[in-house]
Amino acid sequence: MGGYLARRVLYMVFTLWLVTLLVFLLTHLLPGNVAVMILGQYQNVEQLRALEAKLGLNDPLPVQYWRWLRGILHGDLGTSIVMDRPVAPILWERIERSAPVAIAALLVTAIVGIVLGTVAAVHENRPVDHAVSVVSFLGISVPEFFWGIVLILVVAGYFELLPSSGYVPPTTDPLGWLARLVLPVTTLALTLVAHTSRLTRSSMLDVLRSQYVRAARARGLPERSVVYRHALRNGLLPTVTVLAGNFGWLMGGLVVVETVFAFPGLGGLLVFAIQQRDIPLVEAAIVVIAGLYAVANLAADVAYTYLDPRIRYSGAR
Amino acid sequence: MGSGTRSILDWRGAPADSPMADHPVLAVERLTVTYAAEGGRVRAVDDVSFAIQRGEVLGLVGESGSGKSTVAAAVIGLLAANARVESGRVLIEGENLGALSAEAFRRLRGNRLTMVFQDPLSSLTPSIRVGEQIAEVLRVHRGLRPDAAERRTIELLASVEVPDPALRARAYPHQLSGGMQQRVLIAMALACDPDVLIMDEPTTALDVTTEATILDLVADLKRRVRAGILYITHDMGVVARLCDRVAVLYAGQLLEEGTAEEIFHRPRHPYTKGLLASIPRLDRAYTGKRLPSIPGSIPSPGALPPGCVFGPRCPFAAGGCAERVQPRREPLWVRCERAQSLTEVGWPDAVPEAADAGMKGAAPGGDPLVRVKGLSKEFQQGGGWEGWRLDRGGVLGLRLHQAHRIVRAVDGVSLDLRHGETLALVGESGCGKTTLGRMIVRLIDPTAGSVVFDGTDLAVLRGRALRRRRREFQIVFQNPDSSLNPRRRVGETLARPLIVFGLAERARLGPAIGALLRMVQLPEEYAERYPHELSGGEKQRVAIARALATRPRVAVLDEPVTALDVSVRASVLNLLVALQAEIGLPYLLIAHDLAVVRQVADRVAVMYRGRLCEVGPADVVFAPPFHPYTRALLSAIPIPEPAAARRAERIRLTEMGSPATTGHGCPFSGRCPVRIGPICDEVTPRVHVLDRGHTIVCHHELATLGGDTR
Amino acid sequence: MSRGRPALIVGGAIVVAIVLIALLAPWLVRYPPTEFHVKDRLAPPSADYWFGTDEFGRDVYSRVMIGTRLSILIGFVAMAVCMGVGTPLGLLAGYVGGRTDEVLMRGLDILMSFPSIIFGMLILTLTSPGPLKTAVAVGIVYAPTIARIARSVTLSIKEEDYVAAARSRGESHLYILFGEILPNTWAPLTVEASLRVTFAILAAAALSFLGLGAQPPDTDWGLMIAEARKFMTVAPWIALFPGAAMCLTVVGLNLLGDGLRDALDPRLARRARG
Repeated sequence: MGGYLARRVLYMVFTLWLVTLLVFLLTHLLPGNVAVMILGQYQNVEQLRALEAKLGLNDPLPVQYWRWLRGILHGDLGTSIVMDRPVAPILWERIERSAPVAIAALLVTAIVGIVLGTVAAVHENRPVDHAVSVVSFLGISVPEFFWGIVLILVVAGYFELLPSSGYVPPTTDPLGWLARLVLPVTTLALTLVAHTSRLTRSSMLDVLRSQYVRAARARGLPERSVVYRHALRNGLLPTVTVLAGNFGWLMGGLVVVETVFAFPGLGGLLVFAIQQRDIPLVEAAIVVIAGLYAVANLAADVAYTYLDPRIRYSGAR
Repeated sequence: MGSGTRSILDWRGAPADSPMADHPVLAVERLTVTYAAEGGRVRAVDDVSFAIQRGEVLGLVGESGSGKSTVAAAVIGLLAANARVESGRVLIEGENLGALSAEAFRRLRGNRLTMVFQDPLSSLTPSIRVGEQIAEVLRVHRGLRPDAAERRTIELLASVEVPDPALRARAYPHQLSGGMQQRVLIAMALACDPDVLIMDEPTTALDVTTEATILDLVADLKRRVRAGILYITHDMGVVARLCDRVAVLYAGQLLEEGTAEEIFHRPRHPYTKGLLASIPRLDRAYTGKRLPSIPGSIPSPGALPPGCVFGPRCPFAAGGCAERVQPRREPLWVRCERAQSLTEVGWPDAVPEAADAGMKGAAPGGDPLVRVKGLSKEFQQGGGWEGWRLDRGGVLGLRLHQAHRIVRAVDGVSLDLRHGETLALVGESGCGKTTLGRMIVRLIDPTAGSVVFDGTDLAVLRGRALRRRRREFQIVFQNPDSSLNPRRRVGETLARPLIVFGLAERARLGPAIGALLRMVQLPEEYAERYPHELSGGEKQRVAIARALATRPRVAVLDEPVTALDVSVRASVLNLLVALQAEIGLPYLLIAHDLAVVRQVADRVAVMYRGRLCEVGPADVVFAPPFHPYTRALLSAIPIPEPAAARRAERIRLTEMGSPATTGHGCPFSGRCPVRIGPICDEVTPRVHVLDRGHTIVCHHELATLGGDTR
Repeated sequence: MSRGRPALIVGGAIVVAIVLIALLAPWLVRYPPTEFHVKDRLAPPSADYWFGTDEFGRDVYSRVMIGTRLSILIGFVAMAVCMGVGTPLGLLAGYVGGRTDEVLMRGLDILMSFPSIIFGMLILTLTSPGPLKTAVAVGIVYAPTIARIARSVTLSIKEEDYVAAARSRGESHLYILFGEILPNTWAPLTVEASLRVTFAILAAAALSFLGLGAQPPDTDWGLMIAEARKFMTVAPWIALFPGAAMCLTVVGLNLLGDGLRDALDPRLARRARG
């Protein structure tokens, strides 16, 4: 198992390296000269040249790449052009704000999605199953930004229960902070819960129809034991993998949701950076996001390996 | 004698000498099970009745579609959602299972009524250790405390002859061999000392030698255990070995029932007669290699013939057979009107084709057509990403390197194939016979060695030269379901080889396809059908026609009848034999069923773990002196005859021992019952050459290898 | 939701209806979609304006109708790109195996390590925004998923004996790939494709919502919803109707996909019984 883990980590690092390469190449294809953007309209050729030299823009691409990569490995993610500050603290601040949203969304998804899916599978074709099916069907059919808008309309606008936008740090106003998290988390979770519950349902159904579950029933084991002890562990395997994939979707969802709710988090930063052509910020943000996604995938692989003894103890006879 | 219409199971009023007079532990009365299909409900089980006493083994024999598994599911109460019991009852010690609540039934299952399934790996929960799965049953049904359950688990594992039970109990299912897994299932089924034990084809998924050990175990259990055992199988040899009484199922109906002695020696129903006659047996010789066969194929449950279900295939069918057939209460229970009048009549023998007479004179042989020399195939396990390992040592304290394991699937095999002969390549799973067959037709590229055919070494050909020669050697695959492209009609499948090798112009394709279909005894209209509209036997015939379409000069048959129903095997084998007689086509027949091989092969090669143990003419290989492995194989085969089956001594092999071979030494030494010593592990055995090209590869002297199995 | 036949019919009907609307849109509008009716600004649904008007007094109903064209177009282009790029790559990787397979899969892994919307955003900012580019970007983002599926289906079909039989006849790789393997991949791929199309449409809508898709004065539903945000409290209908239209489309496609899956799978399974 140790060998497998080591290989996976190596592979992840390799992939991430390729990602940095890709990001670098892509962003440097962006039209527009960075120095021009910094100096604005009021520039003359000498100032331009001087800045270009200072920023090292005349060096060949590989050198620029290496400089940037080295910086990343040392924690220096570059300097934002637009804000004229180091990128790393900016990113970190935004991550701190978005992380609770993302984590809460994932937790809610995992718990609610798995429970709903399992319940639906166990009570196949009965009213509970149909209800869950309808709800999850709607969940996957409606775009998350639409949910967000509707929620704003209903909860914030009509019932005036919760604020619809903005952010306050938890240290100054814990309740206000929490209140402003509810809607974004719910919006994200709605779609994810729908997907997760559908997947869990279908994989649990497969498992419940499998030969070993049938054999367990043939041994007269109580149904509860059959479902929770014998079926669940294997039925959840695909869900574990998908949860990692959900993390990726979540990043994209964050962008949309933060736009809808005017939440100043990582997603919003990315939109801003791309629109402003702030290359260092864009590069750093995407690399960080890709890194987080890769770690999530690794965690899912590890969890999968742990859950399925066939992989854990492969070939040991 | 007796009233024909009364229920057979009215045993409370049965005459004193009726076998049903005792109180049976399991009684199935007029069970009918249907399931939902397109266009209405279909009967899977139709008016089936039988009873089992304590300590007795009833064999329920049937092929696919017979309903035998449905009967088992109905008894244990685990029918699929779309199936239901239409009528009839199941009684355990007189208690009607249908009247029990779901909860009461659940308490019965695994406790007084248990079941062992066919595929042990898929019947065990993969994520729970096997010992724990057994202990769970004990805790649930017997209320044992965890430590007591654990102790009892180890006792149970020991009683089914699992070596090192305490250690094995901590294993996960996938870590055990097939035979071991099945023992675990059996232990689980016996844990609560059941009244009724159902075994649904428990050895079908196992190798012959492993199967023999499990059968021994069951025979032994029979004596020790109080349960009545319902043993479901399609293998008459197994039935002969284990069963006291036999019930024969066909297309959902019970056609005949009786003691093993009666069924095997005085079968009443034409189907039983046909089944017994068409099974190849080691101790019989057939003229012209022809087996008596049952024509036609098994009807599908939704399309049963009117009247007697076996009627369309029965050589004794008369006018009345197309009406409803009643069971007769004679001394023997049989569902056939004409049984009485057919008492002395056996199943008709196979009629040798006219072409045979011509071929009789020209014995197969002569110079070898194909010479295989030193053919080997190595596979690397763990290449690419998977092979990297992290170890200590090296420059930075950690070292990354690639570790491969080389598996020699085929290791230096040499064979000859002569004109018009059938060379059988036998061995159990994993011995490399399929790999060898595929190398000869260049589906797999050999790692080393040569295959010389007509002066050219096929092993080194490439490109256009290879493609041109391909039409001369073709292969028939084992699995008829995967042999044919499901999206292509039969005619298109057959046309393809003709087109590729330019054997017929577009205009003449139709007649050519028709000729091919006729050659394999299928109607010409089949050209328009899709594979899913054909039965297994018919699909296999199409596969044979496709292989022969190019007029090959060598044909490799990879277990051609293994995947077919027993009653269909004989006719497909006969077809292959007839075709060989007609065209003089040599076959390399890959098989694991020695009885089939005895039937059809001229020469036999026995393989174990990639190497040949023994090669020679069939009659010589099946007679002493034997290679130890050949001897073990022969002794493991269940004979379809009760007295002989129970009397036979079996050579017991230990379960699969050490892993991949090292390249020298005897591959069989790890399991050989007559292993001499380290010489067998390290030194490649010598080759004894006897008459008529018979070779045995073993360190022993010939004298030691003589001796009788039966 | 396996409801078989009804799902297929209802889903199919919805999809057909929406495609028809897209085709016939110019004849279905009541007012030119870009025409301002300033004195009727922000009017609720009425007999004159079935879906109400927006902040410029444009008829929401007409805009929704016209918006169908772009939205459907984007969806179909996305699906075409997704399948057109993903399927051959997956087939190739599965069939050839070995190094090619590994390289292709690693490449796809890299692509998949970008969350889809973010990658789309990146591409659309490198080039300029636009509906067709949105579709292509989304298609590229989902191509790896399709490629994986195509690859795994190919791998399992490759093991079938009829493919081995073709090889034993010395058939060319092209024939085996297109003549034997491809025809058997349609069924599972179609099922997956129908699922992915909906993801693609939703992703494209999100990009439009972020302003990277259709640009004014063009109309598509995502853009309409984005523009309507400010007026949610006073005139929710401006966002609700395009939103409902989008939901209906996706629901129809999902039903169709589910129905297809039930129609194709059991048939294949039942046929296998000899």
